[in-house]
Amino acid sequence: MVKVCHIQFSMESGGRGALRLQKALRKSNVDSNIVSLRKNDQGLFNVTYLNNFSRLISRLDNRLQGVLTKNVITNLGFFSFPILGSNVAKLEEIKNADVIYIHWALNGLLNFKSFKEIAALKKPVIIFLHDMWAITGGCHHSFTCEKYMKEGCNNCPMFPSQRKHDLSYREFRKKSQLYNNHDNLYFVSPSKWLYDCAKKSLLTKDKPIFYIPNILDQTLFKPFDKLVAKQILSIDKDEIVISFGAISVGSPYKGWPYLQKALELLFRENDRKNVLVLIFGSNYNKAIAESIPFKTRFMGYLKDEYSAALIYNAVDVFIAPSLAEAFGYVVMEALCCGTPVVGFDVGGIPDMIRHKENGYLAKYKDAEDLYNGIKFCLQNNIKGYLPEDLNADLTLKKHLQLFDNVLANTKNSTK
Amino acid sequence: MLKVVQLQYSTFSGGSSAIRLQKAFINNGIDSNIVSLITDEYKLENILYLSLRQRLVAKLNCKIESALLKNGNKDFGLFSIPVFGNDVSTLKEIRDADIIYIHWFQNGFLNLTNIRKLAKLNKPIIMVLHDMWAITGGCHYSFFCDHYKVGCNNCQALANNKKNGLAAAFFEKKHKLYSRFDNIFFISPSKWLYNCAKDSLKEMNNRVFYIPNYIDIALFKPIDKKTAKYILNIKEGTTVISFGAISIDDKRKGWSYLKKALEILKAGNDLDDVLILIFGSNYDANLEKTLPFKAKFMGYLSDEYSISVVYNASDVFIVPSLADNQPTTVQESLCCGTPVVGFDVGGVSDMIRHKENGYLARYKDAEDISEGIKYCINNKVKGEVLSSFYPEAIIKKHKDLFAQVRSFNQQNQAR
Repeated sequence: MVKVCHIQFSMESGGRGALRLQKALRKSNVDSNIVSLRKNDQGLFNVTYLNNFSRLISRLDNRLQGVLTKNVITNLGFFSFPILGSNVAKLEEIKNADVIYIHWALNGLLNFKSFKEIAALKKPVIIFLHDMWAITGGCHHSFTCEKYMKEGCNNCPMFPSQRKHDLSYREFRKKSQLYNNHDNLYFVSPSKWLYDCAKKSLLTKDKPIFYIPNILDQTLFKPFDKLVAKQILSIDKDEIVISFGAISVGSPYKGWPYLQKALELLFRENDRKNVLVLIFGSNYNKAIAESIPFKTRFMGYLKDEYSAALIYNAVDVFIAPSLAEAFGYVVMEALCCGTPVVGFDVGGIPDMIRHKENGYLAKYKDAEDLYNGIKFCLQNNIKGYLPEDLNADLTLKKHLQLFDNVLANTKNSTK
Repeated sequence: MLKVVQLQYSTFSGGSSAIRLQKAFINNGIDSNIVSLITDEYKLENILYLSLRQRLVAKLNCKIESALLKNGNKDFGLFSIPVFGNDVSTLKEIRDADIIYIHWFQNGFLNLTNIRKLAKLNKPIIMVLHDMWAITGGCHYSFFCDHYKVGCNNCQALANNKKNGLAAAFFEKKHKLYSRFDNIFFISPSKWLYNCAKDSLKEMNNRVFYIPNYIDIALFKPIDKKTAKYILNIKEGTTVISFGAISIDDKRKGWSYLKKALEILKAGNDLDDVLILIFGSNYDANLEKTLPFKAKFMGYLSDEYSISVVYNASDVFIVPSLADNQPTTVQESLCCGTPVVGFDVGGVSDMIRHKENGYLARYKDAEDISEGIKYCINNKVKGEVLSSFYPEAIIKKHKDLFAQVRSFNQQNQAR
């Protein structure tokens, strides 16, 4: 039986990907463990947490990075360059594994040295692309910049210094060395867009890259009676519920201004007054509440997947206004619950939304088209569904195949 | 506006009664804050979490307490003799408050000296009796022992039951504190504990009040049972018997009686297609083996929405506690329309009307528990919460109490 060990910073929000994959693998009898830095109180199985020292290291790394990158231009998002990290290669869980699967491991969990120590074990190492970081000199999304696929990162637009041999240049070279020195590295992209980016990046273009979407338990996220869902949440059955995930208003990735504009346009329509806007994953937020013309309701931080499924089911149309999105789990969750999704045609979103069939793909950065999408879904009573090629069983199969492939590869190369 | 501050060890699971009360207060125009020792990973509104230093004090206290009690009789369950604690009387939240509620404060959050300091502020202090601790020499449940009525001595929970041991000393200390400060009041959520408190605090009888815990009936309410079962992937027609996770070793929780009752049910072959649903526990192979029916482990559910769905999916809920104050689970289940079977003990008897909204079994009679399960299912008994537990009734009681304690305080200060 194949033994897979995942490395993942925390089990919250972004970390669900690793946890969901682990659960799916275990269900089909693949022995699968997670090594994680941040403790979780849900009493999960087969998760090993690193010790306090590692957590301290991680904090220090965050501080250091914060100080050293304090000049980055924040409207281009995050830039990471791991300084400190933990040696996880010495853990029993890693040593016993046949395949090592690295998910989100920044924030002081792994640095280049830790990566090398893992790669040096000569086991196949799968690097999951949660964003562009692994294929660039350090930014998590390059937006319009194409240096990572042309001349290699240098003079990064995120730094005001405009030096050719800046941090992005050095980090790009470090990554390139790491990737070139090891032939047991494999890359998985959850979206076609990021797969294409990785194919073009100078760092990974000659590396084995696979496209495998994220997995979601469709026995948990599924449609049921919308009226009951609304009743559970004490929402009037005649109310039209529009929803989106918590957005940090200033985030360059999340597209809040476009969403706000779209909602305003909707409000100007006279026949849409009985609208309730439901906001996931956030306590009451004054800035958001006051800039939405409709009634709002903040759902707080919900921890159980059942409650998430419940809310999606109560929603008539879900909006994902992201401007950069490697995958977009919320889109998948909403679709699986039968709720149509309106989002921009960017990143992983077009993999999931079939225009005017299970949702609406709006023209990039066009608030009016976002509004058109909301209207279209409501007027035509569009039902969300997950396209066949993203089906959980299929995704699982792809992963099992991948494990077979990389193991066979490793055997051949050691011969 | 009246300002209340509530002291509560932690805000997850067991802390929910403080949080529920806080929400209800705020919705009813009473300002409320919580001061909590343990930080929740998702910070909630109106809650002040204490610092790392204070958590260290608490940890140290726990070490010392357990060293002092290491030879005690574990059958009596939890026993607390707080050594260290944190002075919270200088916090702004406390200073600004008109009334101080003290909920659960063991495990090094507060000690009796800290309570004395709070009492010295001359504000009314309301101690909510979540168990018997405040009226005994240290045990949280005294079971058949009634030394607390006359003054603890010869404590059976402690190793060397000397006449004037730790229990006697702590009993004395508590009584001194309560008689020295007549601004300390007590709320018991169950009639049983209310009577116990009156027995223990004879001279302060007029300062003990009975107010059940607050529950939001807009959250916990009956929904379509079929849909609830569907959400949890339970086949239609299955008879679902559920109970909360029980530590097999905790005698107070009555696991052996429940197990026996289920065995009797199995042997009688009276019910078709039974599924056991277990709350608040991940899959436990050992527990599953000892159960005579198929079991489904719900894991740790944190959100009230998902918990409400689980009650709704249940046909009968069992609470086999041998001693209990006012178990929230019973109240929650009844609010969701699910009948409850439990022993006629503690606060369980306040909430269940025999054969009307559940079944009160004879104390420690496993066979009667199995009778109760059959009775509820065969007669399609509907759970229902009694009107004296309605939110408005409870809020009114708190408001009346406020008026009373404030006038009491003013009279005394005038004297």
